[in-house]
Order: sequence, then structure tokens, then C-alpha cells
Amino acid sequence: MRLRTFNARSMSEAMAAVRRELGPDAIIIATHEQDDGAVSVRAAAEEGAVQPSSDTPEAATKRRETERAKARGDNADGLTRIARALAWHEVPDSAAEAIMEAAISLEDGEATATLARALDTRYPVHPVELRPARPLLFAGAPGAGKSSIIARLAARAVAQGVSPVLISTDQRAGAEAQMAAYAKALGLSFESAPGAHELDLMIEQAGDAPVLIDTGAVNPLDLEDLESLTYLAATADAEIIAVMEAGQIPGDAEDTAALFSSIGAARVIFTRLDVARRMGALLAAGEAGLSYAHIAASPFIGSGLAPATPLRIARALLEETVLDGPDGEDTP
Amino acid sequence: MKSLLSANSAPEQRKAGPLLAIASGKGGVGKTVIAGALASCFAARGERTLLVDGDLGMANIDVQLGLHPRGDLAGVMAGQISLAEAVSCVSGGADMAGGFDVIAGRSGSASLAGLDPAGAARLSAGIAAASMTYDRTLIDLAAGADRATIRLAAAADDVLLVISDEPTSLTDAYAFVKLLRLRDEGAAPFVLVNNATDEASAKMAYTSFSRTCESFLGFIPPLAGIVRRDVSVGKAIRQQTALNVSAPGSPAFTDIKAVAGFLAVGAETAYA
Repeated sequence: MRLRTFNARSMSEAMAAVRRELGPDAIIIATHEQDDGAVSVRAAAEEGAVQPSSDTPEAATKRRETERAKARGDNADGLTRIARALAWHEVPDSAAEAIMEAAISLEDGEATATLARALDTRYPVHPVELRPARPLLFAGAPGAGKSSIIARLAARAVAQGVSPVLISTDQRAGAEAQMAAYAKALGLSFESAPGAHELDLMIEQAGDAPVLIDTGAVNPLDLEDLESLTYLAATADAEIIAVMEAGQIPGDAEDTAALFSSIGAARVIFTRLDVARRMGALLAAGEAGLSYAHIAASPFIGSGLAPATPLRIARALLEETVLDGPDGEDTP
Repeated sequence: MKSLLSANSAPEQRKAGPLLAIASGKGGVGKTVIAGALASCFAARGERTLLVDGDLGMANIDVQLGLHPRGDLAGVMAGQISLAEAVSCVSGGADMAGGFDVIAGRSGSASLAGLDPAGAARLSAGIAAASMTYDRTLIDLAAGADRATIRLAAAADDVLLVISDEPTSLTDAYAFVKLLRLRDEGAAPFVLVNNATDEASAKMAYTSFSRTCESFLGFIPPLAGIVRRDVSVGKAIRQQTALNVSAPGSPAFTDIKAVAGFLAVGAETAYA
């Protein structure tokens, strides 16, 4: 702890000095006002061994970008660049080794193209169809972005002249209202299904229209959560699509993807690439056997949903930023 | 300086557990005098009392109280004598009215800080065992916050932290509490402000300290009392006599008696 006494002509001057010298979280432990208005303030602050940087946001961003470019091997060429990028993104060792092996055999000089081809040999890509054969049930941890993914898939369908039915089994306060608002904006019908029985009825009523089902958040590490999800999917004869955040640490992502895979999920959609820098989680899901459906950079509904092609994943690993493709672009 | 601690955040009052460690963080704040005087006060209240010098390196309870100990803690740690054999008597010892027992340290012996973890564990176990035949055991801890001292404090039922109104005392006492709570997260030491020039500065010292604990550690240490600055304390030390003998009517001893009352029975005293 640091302890200092500040003397100043006014309280505001003293407080400014406290914050300047001891930081914004300093506490005032005693004050004393003299007759002439001058004040004495005793303040304390805790400090760790690590001092925060005093960089401005701009300087901090620039410094991190420079460090990232260096560590990620942005200035290297070919295979070296790929190898360094895989290490920087903390791609699981098994994946990195296999990808490097493939990249060596496929090398054609340009890093992004080489990596894309190497990824293509290892992971299947399977974007969500405009008219899926079965209802699609979207599952993910809290905040993974299920609802916004459904809204984007629905918007894409509407743009192509297809009208899916949106159903939510999420009973949390506000969850239904949000899906209802999305549906209304797109001119689609929305139903709330409190249980498996209602869900079954609604799917029947939907007839030939594609059905997109939003579910309450699950903790994929919780067996009970997984069981109820499995039951819901089985009753509705729906395909489970995992929705995962790109910024998870790769080890957790691999566990999560493996558990989703164990309850029958075959495809994954990755969200929030804009708030992640290290993309090891992306490849960890592939290592757990999931196919890549889409990737979404930002949480905004209007920003679209890009099919997770090997080239896009390669760019996410090697280049500065990932841009969402416009809705439906290069959908097979 | 005015108090920033509002009345409704005053900590709940409780009494101290029977095994009470007396700590200070900073040296020279009068911890040993307080410990000796408190021991005599607890004894005068009819408690069978033991005072242990927990400062192996710079032990001085015996010097302050003018004792000639038969044995000491260093001898116990070396395995030469048992804890029971190391006991010296003040005013006839714990079996006499107003007397208490002392286990002295030995100045210049291997310091507590030099004890290996097994040795430190053995020491706290030994003190805990010795304390079982007493109503009240006071451990006069070493200044500082080294591992063995913190371990002894954590092994006690309660800690009384002696501070002065100097900023260095506040920071050192805070460091002590922080380290203590890393070992025992529920620890909430009592605070005694010693050598107070006046009530306002003493209250400010306590408020500063409790405010710091509240902000950074999330608890409010209860105030056990304020002991006034008093020339008879220095005199007693120089004469190597206990304060209760040399100056029983002095302001400092009166205050310490009140602290003992507060620690022994909890909320019945005037301090808030």
C-alpha cells in the first residue's frame, strides 16, 4: 500500500493531485480543512508488482498491433508465416502439426492460399442451407450469440424469398421479446415453445417452411443441460448446431465442441471474431470433429454471416481483421 | 482531521478469544509494554494468565519486567527443556491473585524468522498446548510480518494490533493484516491506538486504518481502545518494573485496564 498526504488550496485541487499521484482507485482515508480554506488529504492506494501502462488508447492499440504483427510473423513468408501464426493463435498442437504437414506438401508460395488448402484437407465446411431438411436447433453457452445468428440466417432466407418459422424455447425474461422483435422486423412468424410437446406441435404447423429454434443458454460442461438439450432435439427431430465464441481459450473450446459433438451436433457457427485476437478456438472445434458452418465477426444483425470457408479461416489466422461477407455471398 | 467513518459502519463488538496474539507490524509502538500490562490486567480480573514472548530473536519481556527466567522459548525450541519448565512467575505467578506466568524468549537466539515451517508449526502447537491450562494466553509477537510471525498470529484465537498515529505504523500494520488474512481470511484483528497525544489524533489513526482495511480488504477491524501518551511508561521501562507496579494510577495503565475489560467481556466498555 502507498500512503500519502496531500496539501492543496482547495478540495478539488487536492483530489486531482490524489488521482494523478496515486491513480483513479485511490481512497481518501482522512481529510482536514484549515481556517483559510486550505485542505490536507491523506490517501492510500494498493499496488501490485505490475504497473498499468499510461498509454492512451491509440498508443496502446498501435503498440499491441505492432507486437502482434511481429509475434504472428506478419512479415515472414510462406511456411514460416503459417507456422508462426499457428503458434501465436495458440492452435492446439495436434492441429498445428497436421496443418503444417499438409501445408508443406501443398506449398505454393503464398501463405494464405497454402494455409487455406491445408485447412481444406483437414476440416469439412458445411454452411447452413437456405432450406434445411430438418428443423435446426441452435445451442450455445450464455452470450454465445444464438439469437443474433438465427436472426441473420432468417434475414438471409427472407432476402432469397424463403420464409422460415422462428421458435424460441428460451424462457428467460426478455429472450422471447427479442426473438419476437427480430421476427416482426423480418415479417416472419414467431412462436414461443415452453416445452418439448409445444415445440413438436409448432414444427408440425410450420409445414414445409424451414424452422429455426432458439434455445436457452446451456453450459456444455453440465451433463444435465446437455441431456435436456438432447431430449428437445430428439423430440423435434432437429439438427443441433453449436454456436461458439471465437475468443474462448482453445482447450476449453475443444472440450465444449467435443461435448456438443457427443450429443449429435455436427456443425458449428463461430461468433464474435471481432473481439477475439487469438483464434485457436476456431481450429479446436474442428479438432473435436465439428464441421464449420459460418463465422460472424460482429454482433450486429445487419453485418451478415459469412460461410466458414477454408480461405476465410486462413485469413482470420493470417490477416489483420476479418470482415463479414454480405448475406448469402458465396453460399453453395 | 475529521472522521470519515460513519457511525452505522461501526463493527459489531465482540470479546477476544482466550489465545490472543499482540502484533504491531512496525516496531517501537509499545507492543511489549502493552502486552505486559494487559497480562497483569487480565490477571487482576481473575483470569489465569500466561504471557509468551513470541519474539525469539529480539526477546525482551524478561528485561522489561525485570525477570530472571529459569528457562526460555529458545531452550524449548532446542529441545533442552519443556514448555512447562520454561515458565517464570510475575507477582507470584498465575496461581497467585494478580500474578501471571511468563515464558520468556532469549534475545540474540535464533530468530523466529529463521525457523523452518516444521519448527514454526511445533512452536505454535507448543504454545497452544501450554495455553490450555490458562484462561488467557497472550503472545507478544515480533515486529514485522515474516512468515513465522504470521503463522503464530494465525494460530491464535484473536489478534490485537497495536498502532500509533504515525503513517508508517499504519502502513506496516496494514501489511501485517493483509498477510495475516492471506493465511486466515476471516481474521479481523482488534486495534489498539497507543501513545496517543490526544483523542482526535488517535481516532483519526484508527479511522484511517479501518478505512484502509475496509476499502482494500473488505472488513472493519474493531477498535479495542486508545492508550494515552504517558511519561510513566518510559519510566517503568527504565526501572525494569511492570507498569501496574510502578504506576498503577497512571493514565496509560488506566487505559490499558479499560482495553483488557473490553477484550475480556466485549461491548460493556465505553469504546465504540
